[in-house]
Amino acid sequence: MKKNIFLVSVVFLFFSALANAHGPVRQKVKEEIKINAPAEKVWDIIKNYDDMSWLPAVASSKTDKGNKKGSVRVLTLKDGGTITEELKKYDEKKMSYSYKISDMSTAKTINHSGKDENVPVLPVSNYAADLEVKAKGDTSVVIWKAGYYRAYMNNNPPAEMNEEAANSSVKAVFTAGLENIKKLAEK
Amino acid sequence: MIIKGMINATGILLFSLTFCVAAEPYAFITNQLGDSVSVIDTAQAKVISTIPVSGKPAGVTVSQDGQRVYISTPEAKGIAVLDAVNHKLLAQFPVSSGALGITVDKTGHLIFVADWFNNSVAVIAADTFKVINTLPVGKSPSGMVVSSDNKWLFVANRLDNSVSQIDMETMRIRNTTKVGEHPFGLTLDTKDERLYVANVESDDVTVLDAQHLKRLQTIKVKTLPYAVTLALNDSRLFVTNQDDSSVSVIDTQAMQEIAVIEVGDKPEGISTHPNDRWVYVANWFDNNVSVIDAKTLQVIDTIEAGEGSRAFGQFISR
Repeated sequence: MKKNIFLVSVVFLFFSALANAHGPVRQKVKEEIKINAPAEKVWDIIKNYDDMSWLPAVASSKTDKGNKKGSVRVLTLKDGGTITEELKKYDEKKMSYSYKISDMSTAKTINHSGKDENVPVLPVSNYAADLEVKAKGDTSVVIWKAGYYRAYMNNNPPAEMNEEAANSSVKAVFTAGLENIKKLAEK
Repeated sequence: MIIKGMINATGILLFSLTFCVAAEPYAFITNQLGDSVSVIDTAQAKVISTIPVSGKPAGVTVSQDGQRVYISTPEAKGIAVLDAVNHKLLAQFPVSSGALGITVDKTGHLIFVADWFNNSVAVIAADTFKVINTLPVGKSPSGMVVSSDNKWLFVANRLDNSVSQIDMETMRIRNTTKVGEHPFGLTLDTKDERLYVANVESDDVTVLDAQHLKRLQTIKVKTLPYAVTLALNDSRLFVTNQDDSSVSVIDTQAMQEIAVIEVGDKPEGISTHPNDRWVYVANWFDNNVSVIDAKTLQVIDTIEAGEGSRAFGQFISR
């Protein structure tokens, strides 16, 4: 009996250690789009950290400290989900800012290997992203990039929480966002 | 007679060519997402070979004699061994489930592999590739370095916020001390006097007296310092700031940051060329390597590597 309890705690330790450390390999996505509008005009659309209306999936957004470093932004998505992000860097001159996801609501709960797993609205973890506008004469390029891990930190992830799910979700968000920025700027 | 002379001359020529090639310092860059290792000829400042290595290669170390490169392959739960001169994969084998940090002793006989998950360091015989010892250390051991007198192995215990000093004769921990939050990469000066540790979560570098692990100083750098290297006769310390796309330069006498050099995005591994002047930085997001001149503090080259160039460890042959 004692032996069993020991075994159970060892197994438990095994899983909690895995949940804390980064077994999976860090992933990344970089997308960019050319826009036929001057950089200043494009930057005007995205420069306010509290306004992410340019991203089609976002219903509303608010921050506690605007464009100040450390400002916390809560995005409410059109499907009701929320994403909380912290502003890590803001550079008006370089027309860029960086942020990290600190919290997300659950999109759905799935059963995997006999356990309930919460799939977050964006199936990633430890997600950090940069958004930047670069001037190219009278036109500009917007670059959006992110580094992150898949949502499932243990071994053998379910399909909803593996690398492919993470990469395709992030790519889809970036493409939709960049295309909309282009549309708004070239209007 | 003439023929013999020619053969001799050719022999000498061949010998010197081989010698030249073997003496060239190479930088071995692990491309974690690309499952490969880029070999940079530092004299030509370009990649001269790309060696496929499966298992998401991350950590790297080169033996003192410049003959071998050891690479940790976390996804394959083990390590890969490369011929550092002919740029070929010699062997690949499992070690333990969380293999990441890797280093080699000064004689080239022992390979150390830190397991972030089992909280231990595996000691592997370099001739048989057998695990001959497993040393329990702190939580989530990451970066490691061996002293030049080959007496001590230092290990950064990331989740314990500490550094351990292991006596290589007894293979036991002699001392453990608290540093900043989440220590990751570390390096030692050439006299084995000072140990420099990059603390990822507290955005600083802890300076320790290497013999007694006494804390000498904490130096603020930029966001997410990841790894460290020394140059110019130990007078300058270079620190990769992962989330700041920069390298902090620290004057080791004044023990403060004196410059910040912009490099590529998500700089991770950092190592110094044997000329003690060029500092190589692997930029994970940008898939390239920045070369910094430690004297002028300018980026003098940017060399394209593979996907997810990480190069965590001492990656240049000497």
